[in-house]
Amino acid sequence: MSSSSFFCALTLFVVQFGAVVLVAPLISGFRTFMSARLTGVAAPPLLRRWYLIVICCRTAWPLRPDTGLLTRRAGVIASIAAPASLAIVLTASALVPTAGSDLITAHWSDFFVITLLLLVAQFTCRLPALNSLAETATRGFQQSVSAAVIIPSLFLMAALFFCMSATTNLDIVLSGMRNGSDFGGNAPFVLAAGALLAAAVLESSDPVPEVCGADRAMLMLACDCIFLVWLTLAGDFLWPDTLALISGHASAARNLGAIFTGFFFWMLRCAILCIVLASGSLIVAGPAGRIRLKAVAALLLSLFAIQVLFSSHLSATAEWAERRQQTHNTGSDAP
Amino acid sequence: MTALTALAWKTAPGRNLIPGIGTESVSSLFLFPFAMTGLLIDLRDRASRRASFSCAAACIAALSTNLSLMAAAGAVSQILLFPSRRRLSGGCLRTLLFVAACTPGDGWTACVTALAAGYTGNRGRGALALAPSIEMGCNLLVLVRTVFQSDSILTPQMVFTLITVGVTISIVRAIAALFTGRISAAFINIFAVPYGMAVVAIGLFAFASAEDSSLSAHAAASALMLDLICIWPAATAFLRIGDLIAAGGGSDRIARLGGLILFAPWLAGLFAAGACVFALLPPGVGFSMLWLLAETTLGLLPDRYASALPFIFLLFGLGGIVALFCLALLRLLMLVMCGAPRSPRMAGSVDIELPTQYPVIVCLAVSAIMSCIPGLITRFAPGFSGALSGEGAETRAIPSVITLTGPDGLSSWTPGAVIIMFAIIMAVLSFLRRKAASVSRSAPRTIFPDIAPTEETLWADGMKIQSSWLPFGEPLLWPGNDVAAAILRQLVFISPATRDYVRRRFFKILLLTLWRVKRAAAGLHIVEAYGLAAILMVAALGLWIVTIVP
Repeated sequence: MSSSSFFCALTLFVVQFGAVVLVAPLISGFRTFMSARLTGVAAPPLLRRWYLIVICCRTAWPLRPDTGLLTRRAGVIASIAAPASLAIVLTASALVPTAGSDLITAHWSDFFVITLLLLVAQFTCRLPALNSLAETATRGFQQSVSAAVIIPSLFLMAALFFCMSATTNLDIVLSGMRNGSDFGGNAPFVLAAGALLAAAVLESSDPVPEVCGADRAMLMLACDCIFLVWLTLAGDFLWPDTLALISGHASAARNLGAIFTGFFFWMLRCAILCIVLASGSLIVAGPAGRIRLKAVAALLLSLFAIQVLFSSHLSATAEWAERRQQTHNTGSDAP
Repeated sequence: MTALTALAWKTAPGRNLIPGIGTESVSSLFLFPFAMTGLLIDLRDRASRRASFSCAAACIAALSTNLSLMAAAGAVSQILLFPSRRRLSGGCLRTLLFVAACTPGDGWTACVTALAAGYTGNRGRGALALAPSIEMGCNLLVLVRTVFQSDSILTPQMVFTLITVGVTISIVRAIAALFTGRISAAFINIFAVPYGMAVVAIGLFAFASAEDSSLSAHAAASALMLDLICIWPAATAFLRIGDLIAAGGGSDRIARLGGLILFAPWLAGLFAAGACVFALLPPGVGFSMLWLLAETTLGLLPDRYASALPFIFLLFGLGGIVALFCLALLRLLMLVMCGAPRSPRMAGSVDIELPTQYPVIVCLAVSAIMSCIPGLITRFAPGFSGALSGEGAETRAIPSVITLTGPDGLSSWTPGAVIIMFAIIMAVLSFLRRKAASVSRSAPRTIFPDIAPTEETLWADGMKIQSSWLPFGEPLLWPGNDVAAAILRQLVFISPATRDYVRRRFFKILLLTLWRVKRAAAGLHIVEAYGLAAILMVAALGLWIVTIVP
C-alpha cells in the first residue's frame, strides 16, 4: 500500500467513525419521522433525537439524599452498561465498510464478529431495563429475545458468503460482489440484505426512565448506532457498487472525491432503507407476533437465499462443464 | 494441592519413568482442566477431600497411556463423587459405560458414553458441585482417546451420531437452563453447553480426517483445544460461583435470590466477569471456539445442495445454541444479579472472602489472558492431530500467535485487536462521561414532588418503598423466574385466545363471503339486462369491423 492510499484509508476510517456517531441520531429521527407520516400522526422534527441526547447529557443525576436504592442501583448498572454498549457498537462500526471498502481494519472485519458484536451491544443496552421492575424487565427481556432470534439466520448467511467467496471476511466478499460473480449475480445477497433488515428493526430505542444523565444519552446514541450499523450492512449487500474504491495509482484528490461520493451514497442508501422499514410499521401486530414475524422472515429469506445460490451455482457449474466439453471437443477435432 | 503437584510433576525430568504414564498423548491435555478443577476445591470437609482425591485420580487417568490404568483411575475418580444412595443409579450407569468405553472396540460405546455424560445432573453442594466437571471430563477423555489415538476409524454413522449428540446436548441443556427454577441446575446446564460443543468439535475432526482435509481437521482440533484449555476452567469457575451464590443466598431456588450486586459486589463482579469470558459472543474465548467450529463447518461444505443440507442444519443448530445460551446467561444475570432481594435470607448474604476468591480469579484470568492469544494454543494442535496433518504441516506457514485463521486461510479472527479497539473507545467514552458529569448543572425535574417514599425496609439496605394503596395488595414487583419461559412459550406456541380469534375471524369472513355471493346473485338481473345490450353492441362492433377491414 502506497503512502497516499494509506493516508486515504486512514482518512476514510476517521471520517467514517465520526460520521456514524453524527448521522446515527439523524437517521433514527428520519425513521421516526417517516413512520409517523405513514401512519398519519404528527411527525417530530428530524433533529429531535439529537436535541434529546444533548439535553440528557446536560442533566445531572439526582443528588438528593433521599435517592432510593432502586435509582442508585440502576445508576451502577447503567454506568457500566451505557459506555460498554456504545463502545462495542462503535468497535463494530469501525469494522463495517461504510463508504469505502479498503478500511485499515479490513483484515479484522469478519461477518461473525461484526454481527455478534452488534448483538452484544443490543444485549448490553437492555441491561438497565433488566434491572428494573417486573413490567420493564419483562419488556427488556422480550427485546433481548427479539434480538437473539436472528442469530441462526446469521449463521446461514455466513454459509452464503462462504459459498460465494470461500471466506467470511466482509471486505473480500464485498469486493468479490463488486467485480461480478459467475453465480447468479447478487440475487442471494439481496435476500440476505432483507434478512438483515429484519434484524435492524428495534422495538423501542428509549431507555428505562430510571436512567438519566450522560448514561441515558449514551444508551440512546448506542441504540441509534446499532440501528445504523445494521442498515449499513444491509445496504452494503444490496448495493455494493456504491462503496468507494481506493487505489494506489490514483491521486489523493481523486481518492478523497471517491470517499465523499461513497458517503453521499451511504446516506442515500440508509434513507431509502429507512423508508422501507418505516412502511413496515404499518403492519399491526403485538410484541410476540412481531418477534415471530421477524424470526420467520429472516429465516425464510436466508434459506431462500441459500436455495437460490445453490441452484445458480449448479447451473453455472453445468454451463461451465458444457463449455469445457465443447472446447475439449473442438480441440480434439482440430488436429 | 494434589492436582497442583500433578501439574508440577508434569514438567519434572523423570516424568517418563513410571510405566503406563506419559505426557505425550492428546489426553494429557485434560490434565489442565482437571488441575484447575482441583484448584477450585476448598478443602474443608470430607466431601471436599473426596473431590480432591477424585481430581487426582482423574489427572492420573489423563496421563495414563495404558487403557486399563485409565479405566481404573477414571472409575475411581467417578466413584469418589457418588453423592448418596438416591441418585446412585445414573452415576453407576455412567461409570459402567466409561469402563466399557475404555476397552478396545468400536467407537459406538464411546459415543453412547458421551451422550450419557451429557446429562450429568446435580451432585450436591460445596466441592461436589464441581463433580460434573470431572465426570464429563473423564467421559470426554475416553471419546478423545477413541477418536484421536486408537486405530479404529469411525464410520460415517458414528460421526453423524456424534455431531447430532453434541448439538442435541447443547440445545437441550441450554433450554433447560432457560426454564429451570433451581440455581444449581441452571449453572450445571450452562456448564454442559461447552461439553456439547467439544463433542461437536470431535465429530467434525473425525469427519474431516475421514475426508482427508487436514486443514479442517486442524481447525476442529484447535477448537477442541480451546474448549479444553480456555473454556473448561472458566466454566468450572462459573460452577463454583454458582455454588457460592446458592450458599450465600441460602436457597437453591432462583425465586428467592436476587439483588446480588447490592450485598455481594465481589461475587457479583466475578459472576459478571465469568459470564463475559464464558459467553459465546465476541470478544470472549467462547466465541473463538465457536468461530473455529463454524469455519470448519463452512470449510467442509460440499458443492451440492442435498449433500450440503446436513451442514446447513449444523450451522443453524450452532446459531440456535448461541441464541439460547446467551438468553440463559441473560436470564441468570437478570434474576440473580439485578432486581431486589426476594427473600430476607438473600438480603443477609455476605460477600465472599479473599481466599475463596483467589482460585476463581486465577481461573478466570487464565482464560481471559489465553483468549487474547488463541493462536498460541492452536499452534500445538498439529502435534496432537499427528499424522493426519503431517503433509500440510510443512507447507503451511507458522500461524500467528494472536490471530486465528480459518481452514480456508482467508478468514481470520483477531481477538486482541477487537479488545484493544474496545478498550480505547471505552476509555475515551469514560473520560467524556466524567467530563459531562462535571459540566452538567441542572438536576432533572421531579414530576410529582409531593409524593415521597414512606417506608423503609431495613433488610434491603434502607430501601424506601411506597406504602401500598392498592385494595388487593401489591402487584408482582420483580420479574419471576418464569419470565423467559413464558416469553419463549408465547413465541413458539400460538395462544388459545389467538386461535379462537383466528377461528372466529375465519368463520366471519366465510359468512360474509357467502352473503356477498348471495347478494351478487340477487343482483344478476341488472347485469342480465345491461349485459345483453353490451354483448349485442360488442357483436355489432365486431361485425362492422369484419365487414370494413377486408
